[in-house]
Amino acid sequence: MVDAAIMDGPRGPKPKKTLSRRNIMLYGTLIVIAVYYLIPLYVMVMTSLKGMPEIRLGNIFAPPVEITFEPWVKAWWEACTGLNCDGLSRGFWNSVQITVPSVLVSIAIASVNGYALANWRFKGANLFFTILIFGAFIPYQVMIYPLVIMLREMGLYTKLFGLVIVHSIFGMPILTLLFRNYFTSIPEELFKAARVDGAGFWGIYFRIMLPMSLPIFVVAVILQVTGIWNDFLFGVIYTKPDNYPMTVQLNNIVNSVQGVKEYNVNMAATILTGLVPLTIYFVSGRLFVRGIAAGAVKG
Amino acid sequence: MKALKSFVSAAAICAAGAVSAAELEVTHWWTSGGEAAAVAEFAKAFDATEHTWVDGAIAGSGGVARPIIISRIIGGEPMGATQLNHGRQAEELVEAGLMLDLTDIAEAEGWRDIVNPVRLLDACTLDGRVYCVPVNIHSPQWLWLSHEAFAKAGVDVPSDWFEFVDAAPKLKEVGVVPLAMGQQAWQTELAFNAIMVAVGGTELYLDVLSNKNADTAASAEMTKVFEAYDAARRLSEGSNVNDWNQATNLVITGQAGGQIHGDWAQGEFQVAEQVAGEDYTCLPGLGVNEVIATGGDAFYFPLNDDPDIEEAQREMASLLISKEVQVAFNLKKGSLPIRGDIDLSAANDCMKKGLKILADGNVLPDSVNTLSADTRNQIESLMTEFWNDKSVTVEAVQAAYVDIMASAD
Amino acid sequence: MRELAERGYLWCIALAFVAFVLVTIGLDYAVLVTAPWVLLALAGIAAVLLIVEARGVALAANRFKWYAIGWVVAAVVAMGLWALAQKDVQAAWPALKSFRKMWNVFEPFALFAAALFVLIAIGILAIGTLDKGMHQPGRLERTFAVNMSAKVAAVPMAFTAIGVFVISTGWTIYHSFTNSKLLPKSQFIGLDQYERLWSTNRWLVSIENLAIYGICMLIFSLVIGFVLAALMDQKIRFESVFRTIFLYPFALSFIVTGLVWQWLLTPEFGVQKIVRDLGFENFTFDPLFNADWVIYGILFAALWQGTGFVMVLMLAGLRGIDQEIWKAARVDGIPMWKTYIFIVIPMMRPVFVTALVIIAAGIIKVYDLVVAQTSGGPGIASEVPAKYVYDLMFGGQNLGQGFAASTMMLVSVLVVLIPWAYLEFGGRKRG
Repeated sequence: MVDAAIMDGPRGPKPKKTLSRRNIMLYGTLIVIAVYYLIPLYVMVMTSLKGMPEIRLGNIFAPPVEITFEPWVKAWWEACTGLNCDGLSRGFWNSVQITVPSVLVSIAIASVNGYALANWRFKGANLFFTILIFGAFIPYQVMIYPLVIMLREMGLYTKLFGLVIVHSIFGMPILTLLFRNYFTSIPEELFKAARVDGAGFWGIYFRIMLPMSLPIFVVAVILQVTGIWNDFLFGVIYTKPDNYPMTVQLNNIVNSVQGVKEYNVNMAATILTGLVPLTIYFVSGRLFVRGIAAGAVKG
Repeated sequence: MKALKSFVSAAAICAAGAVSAAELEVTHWWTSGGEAAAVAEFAKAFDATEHTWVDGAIAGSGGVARPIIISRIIGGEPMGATQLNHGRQAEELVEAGLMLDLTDIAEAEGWRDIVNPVRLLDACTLDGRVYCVPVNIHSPQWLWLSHEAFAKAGVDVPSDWFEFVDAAPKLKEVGVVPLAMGQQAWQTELAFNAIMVAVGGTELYLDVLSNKNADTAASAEMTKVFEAYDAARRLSEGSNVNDWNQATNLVITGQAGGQIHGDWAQGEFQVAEQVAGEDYTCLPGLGVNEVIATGGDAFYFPLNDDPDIEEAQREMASLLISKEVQVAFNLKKGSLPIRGDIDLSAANDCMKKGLKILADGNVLPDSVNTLSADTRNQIESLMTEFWNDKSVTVEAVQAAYVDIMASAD
Repeated sequence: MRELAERGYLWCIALAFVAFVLVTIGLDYAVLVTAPWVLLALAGIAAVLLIVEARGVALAANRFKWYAIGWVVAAVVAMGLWALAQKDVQAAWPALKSFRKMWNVFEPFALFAAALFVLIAIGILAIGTLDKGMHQPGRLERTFAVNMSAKVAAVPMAFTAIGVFVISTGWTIYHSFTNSKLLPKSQFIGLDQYERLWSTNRWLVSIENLAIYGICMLIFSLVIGFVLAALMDQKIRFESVFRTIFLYPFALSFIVTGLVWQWLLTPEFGVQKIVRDLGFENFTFDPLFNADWVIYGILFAALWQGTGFVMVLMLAGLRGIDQEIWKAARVDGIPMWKTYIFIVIPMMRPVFVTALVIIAAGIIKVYDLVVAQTSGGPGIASEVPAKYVYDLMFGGQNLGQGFAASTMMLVSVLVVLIPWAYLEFGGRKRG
């Protein structure tokens, strides 16, 4: 296992003076790049705070002359697709209902997979694992239709639970890889000692592996929450309008144009949709980076 | 309303017996301003019965919505009712026995006598059984012209496609895009068929689209059509919009001279409170050959094993075709009603033009009815490629078109 | 004799399982339908032989009695599931009806599973009476007693790998040779779908776009990601601020990304207008409306979204490099950029591989971004294979064509993946 404390300190040669030429270049470059990364967010926020007349006249970088929160209200409560004028709010709750169980189920399965693969190798396990990794590369399109049939046969098509299964299936390859790599890096002596003490498969998993693998769980949770929250394709295919997740709802709102495109409402809706994963990143970005460093990097 | 209600419930009772309230989820892709207003009429009428309309609008035009609707039906989670363009799109679904058979209602109410033109009902019929309710007639071959734009350029509003092409340079001079066109593939296909009728005439149209005659598609007359289409695409530079109603909006606001689009564009003019003949002009058949193709929308009712829902489905079917609902809906939608026996005195100029053509019997089948979805999809790809990529030559596009037609079904 | 019985027992069970799966996915030939049960019966005979060999099952003293009880419990659960599918039970307990379909699907599975589990319990009891002091555990013991929890825990994985990935892929490939239109059919038309595919201009454009997008995406994300990571690794202040800024786009969906960049690149309002307002009247920058540039417009958005994550991976890799290496390089007077290129990068091979895998897996799947940003336009200039498949399958109502296209996507993935997997895993056995 990697010692997180060592991981944190920056490496590289020591900086010399605070205002050397090198530093100016370095920070200059970083700031320019950072500005490039921030522009879309800035423009989104600015546009969403303007009224339509101002958007038509003004330039997208200009801050609003008159700040209005109406687009936000409209995006959340009132924007229409067809006769449904309840904005994104419905999609939000759908997304929550899809994301929470999907994340829990997929991580539970994948962590046990990774653990079994790393510590309890048995005949055939590597075959499954290889197929799984190949599965990560198989274009979803190859499997969309057969899955529709499978879910239909089980009566789960368009049900939320069906979508949870789909997310668990497609999240499995990468997550399993992540967990397997992490568990492999835990010293085998620990595992052997526990075996000698008579602990079984689940005993070792819950008492030793789980407490030690917090960083990788954080990474997995972040990856899954954002991945599932942001999913569009499965949301479109495996649910019905009642259960549409927020991304699909967003696309619907943006594309159902009545008269003119209301860019401000669209942008407000866009920000709202991105808000949950963004918050998670802003809050736990540090843990994410640390977890990546601890587990994901060892190929 | 009262008469209607008793009529409806009478029909319902003779269909099955006791009625209990049900919620019907209705999917459709009517999301633009005029469309949403029109579909609200359906919802209102249906909610006035003891049942409830649950709206399942899917944005982004038929191309986006249809797949979702179809996979829901195939996936065994059918909605209560759904909009589809009748004809070939739902053929296989009907063959697979996934749609509710409406023959008994159709016979009881005598749909065959009231639907005009009767071809619409034929499109709903497979092996003598009726599976859908046509709700409106849409004809795609219209040219919509903005008076404001032509006033700006100082030319008279053209009276047909050729005059329009002649006037185009003047429009360009004053910074008006001559021809508005949305980026979605189906819109370019629509324009092509419209130009085919205008430039090539109805016989050519029928031979190519109905008989799928590849030789005719390769003929010199057809080359003329492609040349006219080539000229058209050069008039649309600068209209960077995606949806058809955004393109219509360019016409409404005078930023564009005209748009080749179906009569549903009318709903948008109406929402913008424009008056036909004063603020805009509509030319059916692009003003050249005054015909209209009878495409349109229909409602299908996927088979459901809940008897309450089936009951509600039957009730909705007869409601959609009833006089009052037809009038209310079509006035909002800007489309023509599917019954010949109703009074549309409230209709505006453009609708009246359409009604007259309809009464004269100058109707053509729409490509929706004659070509399979697969063939249409190929043509749409080809047309949008040609429209947007000026390096594709007329010869090349015609050759590709002939190829598609040779294997069309 | 025991070896033979064990072998026969296991093979019968395995074959019964395969036959059962084949029947379930639709190959319901009479032979196959009866095969699972015949094979289970044969396995039962083998189990009886084992019991004879072991001279009884010695229930109380059996060292595998807990395993056997576990299997019996599993069999009881399976029978319970089977019971839920019965009409009488459903009539007595109406709540079950809403999941009627699911129970009906489980019914044959549950029956088969129950029979199987009971059989396994018997087999394992027979083995359990045998002496523990054998040189090597027998075949049966290795299959059903050693590591059993791990095997049970891996059932979802096995189901996903075989039941979903393998069978779905096979199903799709199979149907790509048919003329399925709206519904899947088994009417074979040979390679017609593929011939049509490769003579369709739109598909060729899609492939070309994917190639451009893929190559640029790989190169630029790796380069930009590495350079950013190297800059971040210079002991800078506010590192976490910069990191957050570079990483936040990764949290946004492709739909959001596509919409934002569509907005920024709209000629009427976006970058073009800004520059024109500055006085450059003839400046044109409308990549999303220019067929030659549109794919780069999409690439731009994709890079904005994805490079931050690559940077984090790289940064983690850089932090894993031994400090001594830097000291040694400095002592030897090697310039910094040389140290990076010739020493550090080769050491970071695993990180690059991980990054490569993650980027590559994303490339072939690009779909949402295109849908949100350009819908494939202008014309067909920004079509991608994934969109072609979706449109043909659902919009064009030509499943066969969509399946053929998705099979080609799969083939192209395999062409890249198999040599890589061979190089990566083939050479050495990993512990």
